[in-house]
Parts: sequence; C-alpha cells; structure tokens
Amino acid sequence: MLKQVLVTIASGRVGNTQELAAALGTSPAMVEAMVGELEQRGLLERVGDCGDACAGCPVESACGPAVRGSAWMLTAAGRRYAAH
Amino acid sequence: MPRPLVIGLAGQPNVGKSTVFSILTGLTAEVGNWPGRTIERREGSARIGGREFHVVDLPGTYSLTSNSEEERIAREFILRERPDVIIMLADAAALERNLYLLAELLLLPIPVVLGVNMVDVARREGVEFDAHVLEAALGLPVVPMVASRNEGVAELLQAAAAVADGQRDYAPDRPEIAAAHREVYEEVCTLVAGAVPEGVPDSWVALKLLEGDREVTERAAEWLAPEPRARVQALLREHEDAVLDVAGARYEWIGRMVRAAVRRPKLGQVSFTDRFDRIATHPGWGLALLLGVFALVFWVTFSVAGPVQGWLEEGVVARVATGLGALLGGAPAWVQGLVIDGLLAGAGIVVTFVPILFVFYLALGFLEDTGYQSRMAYVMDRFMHGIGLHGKSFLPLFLGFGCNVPAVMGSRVIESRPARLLTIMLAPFVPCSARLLVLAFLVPLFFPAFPTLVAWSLVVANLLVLVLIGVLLDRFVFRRERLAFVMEMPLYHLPNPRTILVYAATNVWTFIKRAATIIVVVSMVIWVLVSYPGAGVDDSYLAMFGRSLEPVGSLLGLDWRLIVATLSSFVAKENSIAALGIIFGSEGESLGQTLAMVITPAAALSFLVVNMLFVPCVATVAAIRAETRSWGWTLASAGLMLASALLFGLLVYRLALLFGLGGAGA
Ligand SMILES: Nc1nc2c(ncn2[C@@H]2O[C@H](COP(=O)(O)OP(=O)(O)O)[C@@H](O)[C@H]2O)c(=O)[nH]1
Ligand SMILES: [Mg+2]
Repeated sequence: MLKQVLVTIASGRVGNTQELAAALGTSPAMVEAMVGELEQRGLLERVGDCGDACAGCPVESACGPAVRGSAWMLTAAGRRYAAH
Repeated sequence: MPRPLVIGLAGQPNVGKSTVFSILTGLTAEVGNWPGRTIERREGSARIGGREFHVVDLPGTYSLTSNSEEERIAREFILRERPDVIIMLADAAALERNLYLLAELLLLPIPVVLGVNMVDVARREGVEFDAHVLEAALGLPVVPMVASRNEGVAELLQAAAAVADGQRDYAPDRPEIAAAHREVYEEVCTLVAGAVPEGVPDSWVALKLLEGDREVTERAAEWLAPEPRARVQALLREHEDAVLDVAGARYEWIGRMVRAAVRRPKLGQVSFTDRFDRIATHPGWGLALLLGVFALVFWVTFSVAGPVQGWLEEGVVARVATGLGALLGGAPAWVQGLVIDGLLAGAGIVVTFVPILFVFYLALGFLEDTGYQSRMAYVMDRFMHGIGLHGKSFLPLFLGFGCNVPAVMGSRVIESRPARLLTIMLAPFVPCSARLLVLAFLVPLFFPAFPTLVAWSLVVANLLVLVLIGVLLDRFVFRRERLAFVMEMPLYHLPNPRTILVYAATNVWTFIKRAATIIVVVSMVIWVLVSYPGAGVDDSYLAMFGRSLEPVGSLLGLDWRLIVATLSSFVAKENSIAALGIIFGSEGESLGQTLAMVITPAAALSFLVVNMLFVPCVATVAAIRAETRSWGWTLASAGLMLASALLFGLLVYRLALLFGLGGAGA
C-alpha cells in the first residue's frame, strides 16, 4: 500500500490528500499515517518548509506556521521506488 | 506461590504508558538504566487479586527497527528477557498510526494485549471505536481505557494475565508480506533457518533482513555460513524494494483492522468539509469565494481598525508631540527635530498601525485556524484546470500565498532545470501575506474614502498577472512536465479564539519590537538625511539623492519622496510607511490628509503597485540564492522584480491618468 501511495502521487492524478485517499480506497487518516511513514523513510519530503531561510527575515512574523509546508513531493529515492 | 508474571509495557510516545505504569506499580517503582545505555529503565511490582506482577516500562517507540536506541532496547528486552506478556498501549484517536507497532510486536514470540487509551479524547474529537469489533479482527484482547481516570487499567491487567495463563483465546491476525515478495521472503526464511540463535524467530529475521535492518543484517552475517550468506546477500540486493512491501503490508493490515472498528466523524466535520469544499474548491465558485474572502478581510480591517488608527494618530501621537515639544523647549533644535519629526513621525506613525495590524492578523489567523487557508492555493490550481490548463504545472507557485520562500523551495518538484529556474523567478510575484500587510497599511493612507475597493482591486490585479504567467508557463514551458506532488487538505474545524488571539498578539508583538529597533534606526537616518544641510526638506541630502532618480520615477508619477520611501522598504517593508511619515510629517496635518493633498490618486496607485512588486524580502532572496546556487540568477530575479515594478507602475500610472485620476486629492 505504501508503494501505491508513491505511484499514485508520481502519476500526478491526485492533487490533495483527500483525493489520494479516495484513489487508494482508504481513509484520510490512513493516508496521513502512510504519508508520515514515507516522510520518515525519506521517500516523501515536505515542500514549502522554509527551513532556515525564514530565520532573520524582516517580515517573518507575517507567516503563520500553517502556511509553511502544506504539501509533499517525492524525493529522488521516492521517485526510484515509484518507478520500480 | 507462582513466580510473578513479567509484563512489558510498550507503546508509542505519549500514549499514557507512564500513567498506566504508575497506577500499576505505585511506590514500588525503581528507576535504573538499561544495561550499557543512558536511557532510563523503570520497573516495579504490582499485586492484584492475590497475584504478583513485575512490570517493565519500555521506551516509547514508533516501530521496532534498529534505527534508534529506544527501539533496539525494546526489541532486545522482548527477545532476551522474554516477558510473559506484552501490554501495548495505543492512542484511540490515532490507531492508524499506532497499530504499526502492534504489527511489529506480533512478529515476536510473546503474546500481546492491546489497551486502547485516551478514549475520552477520541470521543471528544468524534472518533468512535468498537473494542469488540477490533478484538475480533485482531484476534487478541482489546481493552478501551481512560488511564488518567484509572478506567480500564484493572481490566487490561486481567486480560494480560488471562492470555499469559492460556485462559483466553489468543489467535492474532498477522500482516502478510505482499505477493510480489512472498517467494523471496520464504527463501530467506529457509536460508536463515537453524542459523539464528535460539528464541529469535526465523521469520522475524527474514523480514528484518528484507527491511534492511542494519543490526540484524550485521548479525546475520556472523550467524550464517558463507554459502547461504552469499545467497541471502544476492537476494537482498536484487530485492531492494522489498522494504516498502514489508511496511506497506503492515499498513494494508492496519487498514483492514480499523475499517470496521473505527468510525471517524462522518456526520459533522467530514461531511461539512465535503460539502463546503464542493464550493470552496470548485473552479468557479471557489475562486469567487476566495476573492470575496480577500475583500472581507480588507473590509473588516479597514472598517474596524481604521477609526482606531485615526484616533491614535490625532489623539495620541499629536498630543505626545505637543507635550514633547513643551518638554524639550530648552533643548537644541536638532534634538527636538530628531525626537519629534524623526522618531515620533517615523516610528510613531508605524506604531499607530498596530490596530490595523491586529485586526488583519486576527482575520488571517481565522482563515488559517479554520483550515481555509490551505484551500487558497488549491482553488487557484482548480481555476487553472477550469480554464483548460492541465498538469499541476503551477502548483508550486501557489505555495507562495503565505510566504514566497516555500514557493521557491517548492520548485524542487520540477525536474527540468529550465522550468525550475523559471518557477523560482516567478515565485516573488505571488502576493504573500507580508505584502498584503503593507497593502493594508498604505491603502487607507492614500484612499481613505474606499480602501477596501482599492486594496481588493490590487490583489485581484496581482492574481490576474499570476494567471497570465500560468497560462504562458503551461503553454511554453511545462508542456510535458509531470509533477509528483500532493497538497495537504486538513478538515475544516471551528476556530479556536485563543489560538487566533495568540497568533495575532505574537505577530503584533514581534512587529512592535521591530518598530522599536530597525524602524527607529531607519527613521532617525531618514530624519538626518531630510534635515541637512538645513535649508529645508526640498534641499536636503535625501532630496538630492531622490531627485537623481526622478527622471525614471517621474515617468510613473513618483517624485523623489515616493522613490525614497520605496527604496527604504528594501530593509524592511514597513519602512516605506515610516519614511512617508517623516518626509510628509512637517505640514502639521495628519499624514493621511497631507498625502491626500500632495499625492495624486494616479501617483498613489503607481506607488502601491511598485511597492507590491518591488524586490522581494531578504528571506526570499536568500532562498532563491540557495535553490539556484547562483548569484547570477539571484540578481536576475531581483532585476526582474524591479523591472516589472517599474513596468506595471508605469502602466497603472498612465492608465490612471487616462481615467482622469491625475488631479490633486483622492
Ligand atoms: N485525556 C486523557 N489523558 C491521558 C490519558 N492517559 C494519559 N493521559 C495524559 O497524557 C499525557 C501523556 O501520558 P504519559 O503517561 O506521560 O505518556 P507516555 O509518554 O506514554 O508515558 C499525560 O499528560 C497524561 O496525563 C487518558 O486516558 N485520557
Ligand atoms: Mg513516559
């Protein structure tokens, strides 16, 4: 099922986690758990994380925590697995 | 008397293990260290129903790989010390995540009972779970609990004892490896059989080898004879991808276990999200809603906070100025000037915007806390679909709505370098919340009569520019690019007033601190530059410098004062407001009145457009440098922003003149 997550994301067919859950025939909570797992294994990576880039930004205070990192992408390793 | 029953207490962190452990062991608990390790080992005894138990609290772990010290300790304990039974605790609200550990525990030769804790929290979140159904599916005892109220703890212990004594059925359903790798798995099993030490199951070793577990892989090399070792290594190399199948099978199993047993809020939150998203993420309606929301945010900000700002400026800052004037009556003129015309007119005017800031942040915090904010990018993307652009070619840019930095970083999803560079170049065009904030500052100064309309139109114009860019990108750059990308779409929830208040207050406080430092310094510098050599503002050093740029600025209606204010925003966006306060502050009227008299609406519009498109903030510039690894591209980006600021400023100014907005007074 983890592999299907990668393959489905790689296919570009789904835009968000709810569509991903529907495509896999599972619940959003399962998707959340699996995405977390794949992130931990270095196969998915959060995009939109400012990382260090925001430190010291004069308008840093204007960004709320939720606007940072609201999407995931495949890492190079993730793409390899998805293509396997 | 029978020997005490040894229980290992396992679970992920924060599921209530320590709470259960204290209830069971009370004062008998002893704290030591795991042999040769720095991690604490807690154990104690319990005596219930005339029976003696020895309880060991294992470190909290998410799984049983060898990646962390905690996980190695937990599995070593189970394999070496062989407790009679394991009690695993899980969080009722997060079973999908928690059962992964159970899937791993079930591979080890010790029976497990499951305590599903924090049922109270889960219920509050609307998550219902049926212990009987879960028990039937798992094939092992499941006890619902609220450990913090000592509910279910005795039942859990009873169940553990019954399983250990063989008085209760124990026939767990275990995850099975996916068909694609079953044969390899069986071959590895056969190869390691007999070679692994007593008490360590062959099947576990085989799975761990397929998972690439470092410790087991090292050990197996010692256990195995040369020939089977070579064969195992060859198999593992060939089936590198088995890792995912092993873990994936566990999630399939979890999905099967929770499907019937866990009911997440279907009525209420989810159905509301589904229904609301039918509008909010609809290509047409969603966009209309987004534009409406923008308008509402500005309207609320201006109509609630505007009057307070005016009162602060006229009632407080003006009085403080008079008071200070009297107080400093005997001081040299330059001191009076620096304090009253520099500090107060510059940093002071910025501080009067705190109410606007506060209300604006309340509105943003509200959008964020309800979950709507994560729809904004998605809506724009849907809109692109709606006008016939397919492929998520434009999504990375939309990450920039909160902050441009993520948009720059998000360009990583694009594989081809030219397309990626182009996306990075365009990221600063997304109206980030900081720019919206500056807009919220400046618009009511220039257009006190209809600030909402002007602010809203500027945002919409900016979005239109983005869409245009998107169309061009899609046609010419991304044609065949496929992006592997999913966005997180949290459920909507009722906003928490405290969260929003804290969010707004934190941001306002940060702002005030900055006003007290950077803005004060810049205000003083600007004051010095407008006050010397002394003949008057129009002959000051700053005016001389600004005038040298007027040949360009005047094309867009910007006189030296507006040019200088724009340039000062490079250090921090709010400086443009402080600069305006100082330069225009000497007329004795309120800043808004002065501006309305001196700056034509056409010039004001041009100034706002230029300020929205001007060189991005330091963080974005740094991110661009980091992502492109090139100063050339970083400079190119700054140059592009500058050029488009000038171009669009020119366009807007000339258009405004055509519409007769060149006269004095807004
Ligand atoms: N509401 C609620 N809180 C609990 C429950 N069980 C434990 N807690 C709280 O959850 C927090 C974490 O518990 P703790 O026992 O330290 O978790 P551990 O990390 O697994 O040892 C503590 O603040 C406990 O008071 C429960 O059933 N319901
Ligand atoms: Mg603990």
